[in-house]
Amino acid sequence: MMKRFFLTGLVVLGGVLQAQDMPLSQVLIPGEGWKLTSFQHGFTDAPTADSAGNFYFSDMRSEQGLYKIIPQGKVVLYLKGMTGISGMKFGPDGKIYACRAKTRELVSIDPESNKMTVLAKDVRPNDLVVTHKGYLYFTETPKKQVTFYNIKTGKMKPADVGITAPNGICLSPDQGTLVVSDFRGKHCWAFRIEPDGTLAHKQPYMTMRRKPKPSQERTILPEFQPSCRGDGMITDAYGRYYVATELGVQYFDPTGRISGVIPGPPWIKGITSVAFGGFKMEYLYITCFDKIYRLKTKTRGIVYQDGPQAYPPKKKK
Amino acid sequence: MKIHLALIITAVSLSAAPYRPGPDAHRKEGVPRGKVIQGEWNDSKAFPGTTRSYWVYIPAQYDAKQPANLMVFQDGGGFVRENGHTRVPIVFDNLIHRKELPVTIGLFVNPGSVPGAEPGNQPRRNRAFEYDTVSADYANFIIDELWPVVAKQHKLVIVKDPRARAICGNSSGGVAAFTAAWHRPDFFGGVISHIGSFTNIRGGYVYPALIRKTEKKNLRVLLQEGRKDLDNLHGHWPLSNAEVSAALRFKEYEHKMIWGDDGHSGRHGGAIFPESAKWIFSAAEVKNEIKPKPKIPEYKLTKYSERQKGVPRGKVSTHILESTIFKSTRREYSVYVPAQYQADKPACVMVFQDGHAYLKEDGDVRTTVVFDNLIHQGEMPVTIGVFVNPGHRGEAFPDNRWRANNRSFEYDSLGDQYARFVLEELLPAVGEKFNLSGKAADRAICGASSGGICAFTVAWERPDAFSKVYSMIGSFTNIRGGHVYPSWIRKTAKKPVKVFLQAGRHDLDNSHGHWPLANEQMAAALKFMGWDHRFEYGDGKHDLKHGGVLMPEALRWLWADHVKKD
Repeated sequence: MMKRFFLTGLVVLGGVLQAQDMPLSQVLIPGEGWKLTSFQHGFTDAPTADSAGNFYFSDMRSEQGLYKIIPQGKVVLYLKGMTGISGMKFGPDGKIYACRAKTRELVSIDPESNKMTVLAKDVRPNDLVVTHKGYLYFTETPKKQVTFYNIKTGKMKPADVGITAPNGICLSPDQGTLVVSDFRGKHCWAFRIEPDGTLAHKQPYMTMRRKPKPSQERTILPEFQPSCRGDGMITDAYGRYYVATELGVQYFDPTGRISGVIPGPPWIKGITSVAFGGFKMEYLYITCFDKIYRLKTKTRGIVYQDGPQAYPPKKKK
Repeated sequence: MKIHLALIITAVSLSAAPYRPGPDAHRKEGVPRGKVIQGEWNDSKAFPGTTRSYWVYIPAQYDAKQPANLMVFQDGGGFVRENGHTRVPIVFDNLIHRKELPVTIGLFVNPGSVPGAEPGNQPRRNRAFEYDTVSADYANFIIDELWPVVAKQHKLVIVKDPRARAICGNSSGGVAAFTAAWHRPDFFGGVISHIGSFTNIRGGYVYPALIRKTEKKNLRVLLQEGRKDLDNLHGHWPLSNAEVSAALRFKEYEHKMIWGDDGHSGRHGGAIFPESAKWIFSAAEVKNEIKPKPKIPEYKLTKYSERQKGVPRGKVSTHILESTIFKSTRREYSVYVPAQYQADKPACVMVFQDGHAYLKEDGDVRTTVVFDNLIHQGEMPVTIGVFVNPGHRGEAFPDNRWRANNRSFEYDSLGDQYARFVLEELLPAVGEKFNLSGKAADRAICGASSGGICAFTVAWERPDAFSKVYSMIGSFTNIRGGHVYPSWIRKTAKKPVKVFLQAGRHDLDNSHGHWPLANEQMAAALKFMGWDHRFEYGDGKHDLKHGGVLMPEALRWLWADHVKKD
């Protein structure tokens, strides 16, 4: 009571506007570490979850297909034959939308019939999101392009061109903002999604931490690598944006301020992507080449197929 | 209920610090009022898609034939309010009327935001992006985009000399004021920062380093800061302001640092604003105070650092190592093996940078003597000491080993290259002859000055290989970027590393940084993140005396997990 009153007093009297801080203590649980959840894969990627908290991923080097991890942590083969997928999400219609990087196709998969439909050929898809309106955005990394595909009309057009290597892609919980990570640059770029699906007001809203670049010559300030290999992205219910990088999972608050770096286990080769799963969406999953790890957190992920959500969520009493 | 009421009253008296708008912030009869005109700026080229309000204050005394001074305010809405924390239009009316302030135009600008495209969508708040980014973007927006239009619209002419133009703000608006003047000293000559966020919101922690290594700019800077200001994920506000102030003093800027007892609030800055505004535009030259000569205490070694009868001595051998990670360098390293070492039991390891300084039996540290004593008494485990000198390119080593020519590159650089040298070259060389433990829990690393930050860097990069650090007078300064660590620590998941930090209040203050404050920043960051650490802050200078005296205590504390308790 006293503390709250004190803080209110400061804000009112001071008139200083502060965005809400989101330190690591709001995300990490003391004593919790990364737990190995699946292993002996070729190259894991395309993590996503359904509304029940089941987690799905692809092994791009496997001939098997897609895998599923139930909230308790058990791994099962999910859809056989759905190979070569580098990014996928459930759409508002219950179908899986996926990037088949190797065959250069954008596809949809009906999980009931295990049938794959090619939506677009001769594209270079890497990762994607689908909004509640059926607006699908996929990154075409080699083309430096983000492409818009309307799943209702089948119309496709470039939405943005110019990011060095657009890779990971995610939405704000209210689905009004689209964010794209740059694999060869230092920023995650924010866009406003217009009512017709076009992307507006592009901004280098988030700056990722990068590894240092030591040199014999002394500079006024130290040099850093031009990129930290910003890859897959996801959002939580509080509007934090998470991006997989070579330094670990980095997250940003809704105002674009870097707020935490969570390194992966020290022996992994790298982290390609990140997503939430679990009964309460409390597990942060990372795809690390041949392995999948998860970390129990204090926060809660969201799935975009559930539709727009106001954030931060109201506190339960 | 009664208890609650008492608590609330206490809370009010705690939060209500004695800072209030003074007499100059109240309307007085007979003082002519300037005009305040609100505008909207919704077509920004610098920040596409943003909308924002701004206000222009034009003094009643303004005459278009006479160029006026200018002051720009971040979070302008808060500064222009007549019942706010600063009440600038009232203060300016009063001071200009009394001719204590030149005729000064005020421009009050709010941060932008990109409104949601559809109902229910949150705006993209642009305040941090505009204010906390270390670049010229915000300054250019004010100077090249907004001001020319405002000036034209209201027929405003300002004095050409940048010293007649100041920029002011609170918190992120404060660091934004500094950033604007730093990048555009051609336009702004004065900075007033209240509770400025010279922290790592978006990189603002670099200013102390940048100020010290950049040619002095023609700026006058006033900083106001509260001792109870924020200590959060972005940084420690009081320490960061102290660092900026120390850097400005080091470069002999015209500078005022005003400390108060408030927290993160605009009240103190508001209360002193009339004086601050007068000072920032005054013609008088500012002289900085001269520091008194410090009194350095005498640090005396304890019996644990002296040879004791009946304590068996370990053996020391010295070798040469050629490195491929640090190409074409050679270095000496010495290996201390305790008398209690048994080849069939993996020994703990402790690596010392600038090894020569730690080995001298008549020196300030006498590490091998301390090892002999503590291992004999069971106060630390059987530990092999590796005393490695910095690398040197060339035929002969320099007489003064501190001056090895690859030292700074190896020790002060950020990144994992030195950790790789230790783990892939140095320890394998020692491991050829001795049985070394590979567990992080069994490995410690130590160094002084640049060797101190180097020890921390190794554990930071490889917490899976080293779990204990002793840094003496560590150079957590900007020799090669080491001032970044407090910022990184606060925003990185805590690492399983124990850190013993020793620093001195009279340590160096030079072009690389301010050693005492840099170590205070480290300690504050480790504390914020709950690292297992100890901070021994003495009154010493840049030498090994205090750290040497503390060596037995540091070793006991670092190795406590290996010692059986009775």
